[in-house]
Amino acid sequence: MAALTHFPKLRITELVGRFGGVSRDEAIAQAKQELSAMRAEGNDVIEGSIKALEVIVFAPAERSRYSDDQLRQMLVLCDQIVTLAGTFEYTALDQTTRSLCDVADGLRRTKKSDIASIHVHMRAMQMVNPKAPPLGEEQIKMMLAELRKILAHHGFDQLSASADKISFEDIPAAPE
Amino acid sequence: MGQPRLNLKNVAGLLVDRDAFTRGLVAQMLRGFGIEKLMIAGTGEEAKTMIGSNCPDICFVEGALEDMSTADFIGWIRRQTSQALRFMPVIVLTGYTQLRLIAAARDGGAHIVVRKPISPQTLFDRINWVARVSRPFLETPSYIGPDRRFHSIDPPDEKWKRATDAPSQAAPSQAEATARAS
Repeated sequence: MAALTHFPKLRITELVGRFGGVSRDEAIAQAKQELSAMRAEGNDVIEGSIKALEVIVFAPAERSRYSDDQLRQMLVLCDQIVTLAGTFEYTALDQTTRSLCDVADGLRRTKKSDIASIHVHMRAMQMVNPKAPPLGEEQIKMMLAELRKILAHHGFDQLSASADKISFEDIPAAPE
Repeated sequence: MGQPRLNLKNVAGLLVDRDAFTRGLVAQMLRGFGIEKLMIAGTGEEAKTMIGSNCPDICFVEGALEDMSTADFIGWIRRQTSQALRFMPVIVLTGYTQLRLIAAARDGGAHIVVRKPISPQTLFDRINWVARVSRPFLETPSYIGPDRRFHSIDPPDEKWKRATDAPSQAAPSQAEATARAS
């Protein structure tokens, strides 16, 4: 099969250019309003995911090791928490959960066993859960610094460093 | 300079994500932008069934579907006979633990990959971009999808050269490539 190049006319291009519609600021303001109405529900979902995570974290398949499936389940739950924490701007929870993802992913890839590192992260997540009493800025800084030491101790990379070196910003601007 | 305006009222969107709450979040953002026709699916198979009865104008799909790889799902779209469907813009939404799948999604034929958590600003700008920037669509034995090159500069090494590229020359230095692009 020879290589073919098409120059398709997309229906969406015609539709978005029709008279009317919303400006960027209007659209963003409206979307933010819709999102803020979901914050309370989002907090419940985060709490539920943290509880589901605890069930896995505190019941390892073996005395000193999580099974591959348990680590995979942790990553699925953490992924959801990272998404929600980022959306609702819970920075400490976001960073703590990313750190747990990095450790769980590293353990899974290297087949290492280390339950204590996961437990420490779990305790940290419980402390920065949006429904828990808020921690001071200094306490959060100290906690995150300790979590970074765990990652450094294992020599694991952050997952964000493995994104195939694609720059999310390296995209030309769209015409107005 | 005026702001971009988008009229998404008559745009049919398809959203595929395994997580119900994330689906709700993205759907609310899209509704906030004015999209009224939104099909929502939790799995790739469910999405395929929906696509069979209604052709969407744009698709938002998570980076790691539960029942199939996102690249396979996009590949299925790219092999459809309906041109509207084959060329449909596909935006992949990737979570933190799915970042390793970015290359697979791009090589599967995605238009663009957006990292979660998605802000309304990012989502609006990416929709605006895929709707307004025309990109050639390539069909080769190993790839079907939008042109993956964003810049008109030579590939950095022979590995990524296409058969249709100019005959081999010394790969440009970073400085030359930057100068040529500017």
